[in-house]
Amino acid sequence: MDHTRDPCPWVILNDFGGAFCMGAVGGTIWHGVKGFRNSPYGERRLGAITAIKMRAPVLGGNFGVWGGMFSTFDCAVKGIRKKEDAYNAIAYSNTIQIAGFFTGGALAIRGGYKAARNGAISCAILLAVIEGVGIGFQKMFAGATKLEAPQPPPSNEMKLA
Amino acid sequence: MMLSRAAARQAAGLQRAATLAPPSALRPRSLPAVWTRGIAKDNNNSKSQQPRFSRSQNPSAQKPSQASAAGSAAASKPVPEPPKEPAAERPAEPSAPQEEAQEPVPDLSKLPDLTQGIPSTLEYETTGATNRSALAAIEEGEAVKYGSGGGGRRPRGELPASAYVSSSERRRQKWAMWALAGAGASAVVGVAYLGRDWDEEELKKNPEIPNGWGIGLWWKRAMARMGSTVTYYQEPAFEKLLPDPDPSFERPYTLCISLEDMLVHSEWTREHGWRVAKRPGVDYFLHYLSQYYEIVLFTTVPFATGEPLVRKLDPYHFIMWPLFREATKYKDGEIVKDLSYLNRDLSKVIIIDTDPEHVRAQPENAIILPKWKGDPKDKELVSLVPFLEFIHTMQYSDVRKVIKSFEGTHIPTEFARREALARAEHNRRIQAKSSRGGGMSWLTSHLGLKPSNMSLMVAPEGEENPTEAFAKGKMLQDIARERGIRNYLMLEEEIRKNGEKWLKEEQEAMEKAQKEAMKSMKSSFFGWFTPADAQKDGSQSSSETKRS
Repeated sequence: MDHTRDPCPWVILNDFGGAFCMGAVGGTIWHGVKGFRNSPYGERRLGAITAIKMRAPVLGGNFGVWGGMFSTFDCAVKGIRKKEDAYNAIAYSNTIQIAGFFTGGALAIRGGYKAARNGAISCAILLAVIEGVGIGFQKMFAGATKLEAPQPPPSNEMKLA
Repeated sequence: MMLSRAAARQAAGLQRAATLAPPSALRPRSLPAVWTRGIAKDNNNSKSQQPRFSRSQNPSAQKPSQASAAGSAAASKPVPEPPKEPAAERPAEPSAPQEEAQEPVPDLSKLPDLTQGIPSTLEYETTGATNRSALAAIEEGEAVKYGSGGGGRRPRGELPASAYVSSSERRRQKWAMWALAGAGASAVVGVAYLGRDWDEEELKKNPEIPNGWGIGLWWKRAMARMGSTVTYYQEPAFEKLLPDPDPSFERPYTLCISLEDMLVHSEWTREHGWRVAKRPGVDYFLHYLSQYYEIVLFTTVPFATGEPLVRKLDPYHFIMWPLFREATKYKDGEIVKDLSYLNRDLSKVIIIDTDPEHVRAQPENAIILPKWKGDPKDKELVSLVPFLEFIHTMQYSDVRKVIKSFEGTHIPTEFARREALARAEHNRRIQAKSSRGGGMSWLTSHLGLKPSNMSLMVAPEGEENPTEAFAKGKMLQDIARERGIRNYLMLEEEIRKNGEKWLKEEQEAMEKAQKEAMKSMKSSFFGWFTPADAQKDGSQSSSETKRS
């Protein structure tokens, strides 16, 4: 019941679009600077714009493919494991790792078996590290901030009569 | 030395004059000896080179130049010379016209017509004319011929393909090997470290695994330590979820309620996204029961999602303590609301939930409701109120027994049935009593055991005397009900009158606290950069401004 994300089949679209936008925006910045620097004086602005027009959508597409694929695998794994309700951090991170494993593998499959294996493993490890850090932080903040030790006095409106 | 060089120079000069007259005129005489020697060498080669240049340019002028070269240099190279040629079998290009005469005329009709483009050789190759093994054999032979000492352009073939790795690939492989070795070593060291002897505290916690050497013991200790690390993330965030009970709070029972599908229901549609529906009677349920129970919201929804919901659902804080996902336990792939962490006497805790899995740690404390799916005519939640009120009224010492007696039944209907039975019984007794002239109450009043001495029956002002009420055929829970409803109405009146004000006050207090926190954060942040005395000044001035 995470209200920040849509339920499963639809979230794939969301993720694809979000990842595409992220890649396109990031690519605009990246290739803008790169095109600017690699152009001769007098044509720097034009060079930047040309580089952005040529390369930013491609980067966005790459990001989008990754995001959409990851989301698809995520949904598939959730559907199979039936762990959507148990949205626990650890179970969820397992789901993410499995999805990341398949995503990395699928994206690298054109490079052959070895490339797919390496891509899958490194993708899963990367996501595991990110998730692990996230869980650690979550636990840290849960312990630090949500301890309800300072007892608020029973407020007047509750005492009544 | 110098003399010999000079001699060489002169000899070179002579030769130059003979063969390379035009370039030598340009060259200065005072060139170093080495340089001239190099030129002299060039001169030797020039005999074989020169015909090559001229050959392509004007074949007709070939013979005379060759002849003159041969005549001028005594130690000349074996240039194909005219007298030898007729006997020699090998084809020498300079004598092209003579060869043509020797060879049979080629059959030009078999040659492809190149004006139509270059023909494909595919057909030829697929017939097996160029079989691979033959090619491989040729390559092999060449490799042997060149040997392995070749420099940059080493031919392939003398080693298996795997031997041909680029240096970057080799470097990468080396790194990978080191990384793997490092990982393995650190794993071994890590296990060894994890399996170290217990210190005193740990020994108390793990009495079944003793200290000592031995692979098995070591391994067990390592596993136990690993397990404790994992369970840290599966346990609730705190040992005690709630602060100690406050005796002045006067609510002996704790009621844990759930959020999703009990108080609210969220649904998602493509048109509207997420929407949350509030269950009918939630306000009444919370407000009414808050006079009997310490209400704890115990939900599996994470804090980030649940907190805004709770704030909106219950702005006046009838829910004393909200507990979210962080307070639950993760066990065997399922979330469990473990009441033993609640810091309350479990004989006085009731938990209402919609999922039996979530309360499987203490099913004897639990009332399981069916999930509410957004039906606007729902009465389930409100119909539980009389039962919960009755538990408070009767001051049961152990609620688990009460819940147990309702096991397998629909609690509201079962409770109504039992109440009706009790009421019939009660009425019969009253009637019998009144026919006997109320001897019992007379007796107790004479013994000084007035019913008004019983704490529960102390009637607040504006309420009829319990004895009179009993006489009218009311039961204990009826009296409690009347009192509860009166309190509830007063409370509602109060909220109607002051609710807005309370909310505003709370808002202001919150904003103030936020500002305060921001300020302290800022000062502590800038405290890193300012020296201590300056910081003191800053704090003083800030306190002054606060005062002013």
